[in-house]
Amino acid sequence: MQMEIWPFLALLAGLAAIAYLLPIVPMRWRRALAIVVVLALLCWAPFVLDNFRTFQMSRVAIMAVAVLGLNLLTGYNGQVSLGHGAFMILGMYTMAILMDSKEQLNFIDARPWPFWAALIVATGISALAGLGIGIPSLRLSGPYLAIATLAVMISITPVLKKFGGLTGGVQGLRFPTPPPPEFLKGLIDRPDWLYFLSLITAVILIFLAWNLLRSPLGRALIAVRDSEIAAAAMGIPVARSKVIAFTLSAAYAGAAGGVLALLLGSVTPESITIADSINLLVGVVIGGLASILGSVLGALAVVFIPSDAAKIVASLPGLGGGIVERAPGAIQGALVIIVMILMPLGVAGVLHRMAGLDVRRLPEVVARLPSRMLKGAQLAAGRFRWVWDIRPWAQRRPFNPDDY
Amino acid sequence: MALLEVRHVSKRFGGLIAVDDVSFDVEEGKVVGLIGPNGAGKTTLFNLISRIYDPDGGTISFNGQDILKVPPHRVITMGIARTFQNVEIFPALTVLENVLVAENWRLRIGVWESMLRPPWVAKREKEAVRRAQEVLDFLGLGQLATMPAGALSFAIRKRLEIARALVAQPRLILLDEPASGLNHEELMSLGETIRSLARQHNITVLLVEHHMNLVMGVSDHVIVLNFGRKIAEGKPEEVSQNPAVIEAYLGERGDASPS
Repeated sequence: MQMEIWPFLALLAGLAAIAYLLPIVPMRWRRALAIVVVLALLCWAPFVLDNFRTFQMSRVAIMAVAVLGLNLLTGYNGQVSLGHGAFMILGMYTMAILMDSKEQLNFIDARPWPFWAALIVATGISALAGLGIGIPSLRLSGPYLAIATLAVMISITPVLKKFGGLTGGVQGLRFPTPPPPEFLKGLIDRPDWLYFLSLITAVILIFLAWNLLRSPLGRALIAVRDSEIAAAAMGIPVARSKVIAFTLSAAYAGAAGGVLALLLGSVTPESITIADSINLLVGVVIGGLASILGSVLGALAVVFIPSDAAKIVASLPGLGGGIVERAPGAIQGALVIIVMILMPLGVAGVLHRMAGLDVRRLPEVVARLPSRMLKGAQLAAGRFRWVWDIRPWAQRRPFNPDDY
Repeated sequence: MALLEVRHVSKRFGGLIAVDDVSFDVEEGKVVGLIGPNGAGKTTLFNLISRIYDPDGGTISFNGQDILKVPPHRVITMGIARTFQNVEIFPALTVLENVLVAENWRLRIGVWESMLRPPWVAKREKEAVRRAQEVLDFLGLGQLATMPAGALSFAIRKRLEIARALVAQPRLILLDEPASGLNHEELMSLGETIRSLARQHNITVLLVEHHMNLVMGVSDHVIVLNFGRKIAEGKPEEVSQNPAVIEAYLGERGDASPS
């Protein structure tokens, strides 16, 4: 049996929604059931989708990790980064260097590492880089931090080209992708195996993030985002929390990069561009700030909008030809803008509201949709204000004699 | 030895001297009111005690320890919790989560423990939730536990701040204008709450407040600031008779132009 990607995704969404909205069953079970349904269908995916679409789904899993990583930092902790592509490519190169059969700088072993060990090291190196950038970033916030991290991303490409002894220069590195482990031989062939590897990595890292976010540390990240001054007064070490957020976030990006390198079997300095780096933030905002589900949905958008949006729009009656075919990028851009205006809290924000909806009230709700959207846009404006809070800490409480 | 000892503390903002050589003691188990006209330096003094600002001079010690040696987030671990004049809650968190934030320092759960969530972490967290729920019930917020704090009214937010401060089980609580924006009924219940903190729970209260009836009603001791200086202190009834205090509040005799 073969399926197109869009019917498949529609089936996935439909079954998940049915499982989630089952009557009578308690909420916890419905959520667990929806997750099981989604995972079962995702395990089925490589057997019904063609190779290209399976590859794209692997990329979705990888991007979900990277977008979630950035969401930990931007959505939950209020620090905006445009440079997370740098941590991804760092993870990719670490992976490639450990997995290829060249001896680099006369000390890195020429024998390829097992992929899982290389993946752990790639994650760790990116985490260290995140720590190194997170500490000086304590002095920056809002757009200043965004620009500083963008500068990191801009500078990493020439650095990778320059140190060719380690990185293979402009050509980059190639290495054989690892074969599936013995016990899977015959069950799953090579490209599908990499899909499952991406999926498992994503599931594990999403689970860890979910635990983290409902722990005291997760609450601390949000508290620091909402009011540093109150967080400190309540015993939260503000600087430490921000550095932890940065480090974890970079580790997630590095893990995503590591798996991406496995999937591609090669890496060049152009594997992750500035546009990819910015796309991660686009994924966070489209999917939904401070939402795990939103991060996954954002990853779907980041992968499928560039590949399919222009085609779908061109196939609509009256929209074929012209700019749509000559400049597919313009369609992507327009689509992102439209999504952000219509769904200011991201796709996850819309779903969150729909989940609480009583079906009998549907007509009434549809009638009130325009005014609700306006309200949503105002809410979102407020949300952007805290993400983009450009006023430094000291200035947030200007000296006002009336206050003291 | 008093619980909190403030000695010769000064704080300048550029040319403005917000707090000028202020000294006072706060005795354990008492409710101490800190009053003064706008701009007298009351909140600045709070911010100095909670380490948001560094003083330009002087010392502050709590329970015999120098608090100027600890970073801001350690102040609460010494036993000093506070509320804010402009209400600094965490709007995206629920009421319960807001209160839980103040338990973080006691839970001491690391990054790995958070991510892997072993059973003992879940158990500790459950206890923290129970304690938080107790404090919420004490302040009559129990029903609102799962509401996002950003959706609450101003008066409830103020009460939430008190709950958040109390869950840390402080020995001293700093309340910065808890009565502003409250109606008559809410004021009465606030007065009750403050009294019961000191009498029944043995928590010392340092209170900044403009609402004179409340301050005079609940305080054991009142300190008056004006233009950053301490101009009087004593029992509420003494202070309200003090000519310097009357002058600070009503202006110098002959100042008011006849109209």
